[in-house]
Amino acid sequence: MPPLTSFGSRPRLDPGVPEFDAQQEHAPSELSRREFLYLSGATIALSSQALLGCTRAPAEKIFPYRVQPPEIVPGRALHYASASTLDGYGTGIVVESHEGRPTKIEGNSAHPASLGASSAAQQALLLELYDPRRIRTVTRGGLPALGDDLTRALRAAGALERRGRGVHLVLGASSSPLLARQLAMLQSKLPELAVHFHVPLSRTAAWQGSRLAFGSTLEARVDLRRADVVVAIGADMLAQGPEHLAVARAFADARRMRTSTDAMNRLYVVETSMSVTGGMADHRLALVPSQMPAFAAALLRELAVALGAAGMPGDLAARLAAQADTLASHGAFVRAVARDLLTQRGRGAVLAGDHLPAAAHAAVHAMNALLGNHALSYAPSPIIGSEQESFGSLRALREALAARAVDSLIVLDRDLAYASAADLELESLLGRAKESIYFGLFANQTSAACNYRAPAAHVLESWSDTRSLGGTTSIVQPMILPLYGGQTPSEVLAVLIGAEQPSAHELLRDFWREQRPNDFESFWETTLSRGTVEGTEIAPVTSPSLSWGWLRQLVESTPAPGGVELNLIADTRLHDGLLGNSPWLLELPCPVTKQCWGNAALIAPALARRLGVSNGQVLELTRGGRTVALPALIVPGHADAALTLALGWGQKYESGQESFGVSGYRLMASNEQAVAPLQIRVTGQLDELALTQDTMSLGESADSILLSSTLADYQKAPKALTPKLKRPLSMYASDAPESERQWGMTIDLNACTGCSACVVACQAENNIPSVGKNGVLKHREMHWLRVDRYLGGSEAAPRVLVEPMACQHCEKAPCEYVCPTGATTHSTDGLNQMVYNRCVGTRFCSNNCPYKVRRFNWFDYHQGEASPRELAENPEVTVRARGVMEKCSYCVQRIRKAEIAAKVGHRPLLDQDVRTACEQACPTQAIRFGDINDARSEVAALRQSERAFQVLPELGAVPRTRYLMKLTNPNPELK
Amino acid sequence: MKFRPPGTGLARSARAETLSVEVEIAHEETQGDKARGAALFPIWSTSVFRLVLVLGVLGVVSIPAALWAWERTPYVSGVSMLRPQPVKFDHRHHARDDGIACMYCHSDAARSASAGMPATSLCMGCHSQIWTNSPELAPVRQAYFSDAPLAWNRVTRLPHFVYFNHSIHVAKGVGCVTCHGRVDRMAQVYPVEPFTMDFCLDCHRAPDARLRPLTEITNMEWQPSGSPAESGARLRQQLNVQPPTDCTTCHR
Repeated sequence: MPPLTSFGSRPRLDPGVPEFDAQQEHAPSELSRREFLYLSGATIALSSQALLGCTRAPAEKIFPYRVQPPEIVPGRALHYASASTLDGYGTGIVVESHEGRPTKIEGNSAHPASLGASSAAQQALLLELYDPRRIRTVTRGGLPALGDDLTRALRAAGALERRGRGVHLVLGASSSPLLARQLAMLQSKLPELAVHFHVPLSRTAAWQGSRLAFGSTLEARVDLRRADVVVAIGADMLAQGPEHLAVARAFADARRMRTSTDAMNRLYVVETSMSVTGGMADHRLALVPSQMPAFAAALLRELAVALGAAGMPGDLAARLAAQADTLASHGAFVRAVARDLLTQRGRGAVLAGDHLPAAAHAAVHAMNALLGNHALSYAPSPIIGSEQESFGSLRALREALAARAVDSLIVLDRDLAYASAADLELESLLGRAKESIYFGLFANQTSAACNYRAPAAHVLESWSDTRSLGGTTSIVQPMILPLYGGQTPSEVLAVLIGAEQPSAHELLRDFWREQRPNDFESFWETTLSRGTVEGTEIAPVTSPSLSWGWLRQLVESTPAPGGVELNLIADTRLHDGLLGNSPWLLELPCPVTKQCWGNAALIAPALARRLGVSNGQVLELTRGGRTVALPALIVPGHADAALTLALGWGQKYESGQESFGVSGYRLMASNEQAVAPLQIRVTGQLDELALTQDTMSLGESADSILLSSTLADYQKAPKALTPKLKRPLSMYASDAPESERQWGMTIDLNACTGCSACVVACQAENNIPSVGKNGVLKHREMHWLRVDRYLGGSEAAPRVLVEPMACQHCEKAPCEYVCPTGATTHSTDGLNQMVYNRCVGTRFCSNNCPYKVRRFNWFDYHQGEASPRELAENPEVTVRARGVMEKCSYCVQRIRKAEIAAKVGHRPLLDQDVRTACEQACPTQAIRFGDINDARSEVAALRQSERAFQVLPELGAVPRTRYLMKLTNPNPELK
Repeated sequence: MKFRPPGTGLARSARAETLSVEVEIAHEETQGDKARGAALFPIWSTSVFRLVLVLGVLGVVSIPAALWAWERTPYVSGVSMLRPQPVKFDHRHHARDDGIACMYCHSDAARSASAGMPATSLCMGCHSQIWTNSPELAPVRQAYFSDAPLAWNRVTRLPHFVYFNHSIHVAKGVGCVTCHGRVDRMAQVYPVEPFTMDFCLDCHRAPDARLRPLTEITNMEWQPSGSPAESGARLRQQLNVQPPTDCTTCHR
């Protein structure tokens, strides 16, 4: 078996393979020697012009307000509570706005699905708002059209006498109370109207599972604080799902290990490809997708035999036997999990992934019910239409289109031609609608097939409402007027209902005035400022009665016959691909594979050996008569007989702009049961993978880079595992004046899941550019904060170790000693400062940095006023020019702002006053920042932890960022 | 030896120096042989060459010095330079004659990084009552009624990599006049200080002389009673003034 080190490497291209030239936005192409000399000559000639740089600064204008809004103080940011929605589920956000311009998104700590944290996708909403590719005008057949004509077309569709016959409305999943009311009104006005919810990755199977088990559509909610044993069957609940921020927080809280005597939960993960949750697992089992129900059956059998229950079929064990026995080779694992769950009866949690079949969900519900697990509760779903069996299916629409029975098709910002099973052939069928109207943010495959194309309002431009998984309702309020006059779904529906020039604001206020007639104005104000509507939580159903009718279905879902199975998953960053593909998300390395700007065919090392491929070798995948070709990427810990492809990539835009990656929807089948097997052909070609990390194994240096241990070893001798932190001898004098306040950071590796929300938060806060695929291929990515990922253990059962890595603010910083211009120096409060206007770009500092966290601006990545993206830039942070070094500043702009506010307000600076962008976004609170000299600060306490260690302590740089050792809690039975 | 005609220019003077020496030697050797032609360079070229040498050495010092000085000329720093403005606004009249407080218009100075420019509606607050037909105020009225902002030309300007915060300076007893000069005596506002890093650091390193009681922030004529050093030291204690000099104080 080859060592783990050999997997992470980038593919090397044969000289004959042309380097493809995607995303060459700023970089000039490779220079020949001659061109280089030409340019050098020109540079010298032009440098005489440098003297002209000594002229006076260009004139600037000041534009005061005509009437200054009372809440606006120029130079001071305002924060508004709102909510973002993904797959219909709302999560609270707080948006920072500078003089009416939204510049940063944070989580809303008052919202139960956020708890103050935010995800990468939420952060990226900001860039989506300012995306230059957005639809700006109404067009019909590609030619400019009048908004009035569009309204007339909508009115015609909503005409009373047509009763909605032939009118099809496509919209995304929604939990909006206003929209629910409007849809009800619409359906009573137009009884024959067809409403299709388009959700490529819907929770339909989970809802069906709850109907099978409990007889009604219920959502399972989990509080991992109340679970000591967690079993995730295909569930990536720490990084995906409607409440993943809150779930991750609860999970981390149960593993925080403040002292060595604390308790820690144990996580078992059964999955196909390595996920974020799988990386956190104490025990992980890789199974192909079709084995998942069998695992559920096997576990259920073990538990049911031990527990028994009223109403349970007596022959249950026997009926499950055949299927459970298909996993006989993993019997020890199943039995160990079952025993652990039984020992901790009531304090366990079994979770199923959304893509599992309904019967497997029912089996999981049964297991939790049998065990009496308190961590789980069940409540009706807030999603409109979740009780429909066909929710999320576009089959009815396809049949109507095929029969040419669609007179009016109205699509509300859903790229259904892209994000739907390829065998539905919607892209070609959409043209059969007599009239089709597309409201959207981007011109894409679907808008190209529609007659009318009109701008939709972005969530940061809209009035709306949304509900979280638990029912908590939030009002979505706009931060800015629609940049391109976009309309909200509620406005479009109102026109269909018959309103004249509806405004989403009025519609929303009217709706909520009806709900709260007595105290509406005060209710409205408090709700807007809090971000949540009080008393809207959905009460959980108390002990729903369990039925067992689904057993037959579970038994029937037998494993697929042989061959390599295709595992289509939601991408960890782009989700289903309908998030607007902002460069922040495209360039965010996958937490597991560290690949960005594209997807790959993820395969196990064993399958790679069988196919004879290495990283980057292009595989041709054929299924159901459709073929895609994409590079292979070997992922240790992947199930052997499966191939994983992340959805969300390969979306095409009408403008012809190149898409990144390959669309997995091309291989998706509308009926997964009756699908043809996957065929893999090795093409022999090589493709480049934009990987940000080559090394996978820590090798010999584990002790100085990333400490990890097991809970048992740690508790045996808490102090023995971390090397004593001694201040090493140094030839450099430490006579620098030091202020009382000393900033420092701790990162708890036991809580960090590697989800990478911090990376995007940092990028948004600090005006960090994206460099494009070619830039990444040349190792020119600019992220100030990266998340390193290492693998330990064996090839089949790898242990994932993640370590966020940013400037360590070394007390004896190696970068400072080599800077010839004094552009990087140490501040009195312990910051390693970077002064851009002094930097001449020698890059000596980067060369001398042992942590490799300094980034160099190879080009002027910021497009300035040429792009609306300039509006997303944080006015508190310098926009760096070409030729300048940059790195993590510990969010010094936030430190200084808080210090000034405290001084002006004559109050002491409190520990919670300064939070770095990464700390604020972190769902698990793994990152802590504060004054290490303040005995009451959290960071000071964490630095005293027995788990605290420095990275590369032997170099004597004395990094200010300390890490807390990663612990796992393995089951002794499975050792 | 083949000689070229003399006087081919200063650029060749280094070569000419050596050659002229050779020429003299040659003359000694070939006394009387005048038919061989005149000297390559005239005698004065030696002086020119020496001058160039001296200037070259001086240039190493003088060019940076000249650039340093150039940066500090009013032309570049903008000190005392007037910029055209859309309205002939006279601070003498408003601040001195009418006694309108600085913070009436620049109200954000005490609470924000930016001191703020008055909204057009603030101008119109008074000028809808007085001087309602003044032609000088036509641009203000036009801006107000056409809902377009007045476009002032910035007078006090810092480079974009500098983050200055008015509120903390006001809270720590630095008066308007310290940086902005006697605005109350200006017909049209112009910068009085170059706002070089020196200017900022001088005060951050030794703030005493620039401190005043918080009640006198906007007072253009305030002078410490008694010794400025003593009063400054007392104020520094009283206001807890500890100006930081870390790079990141201003550069972020």
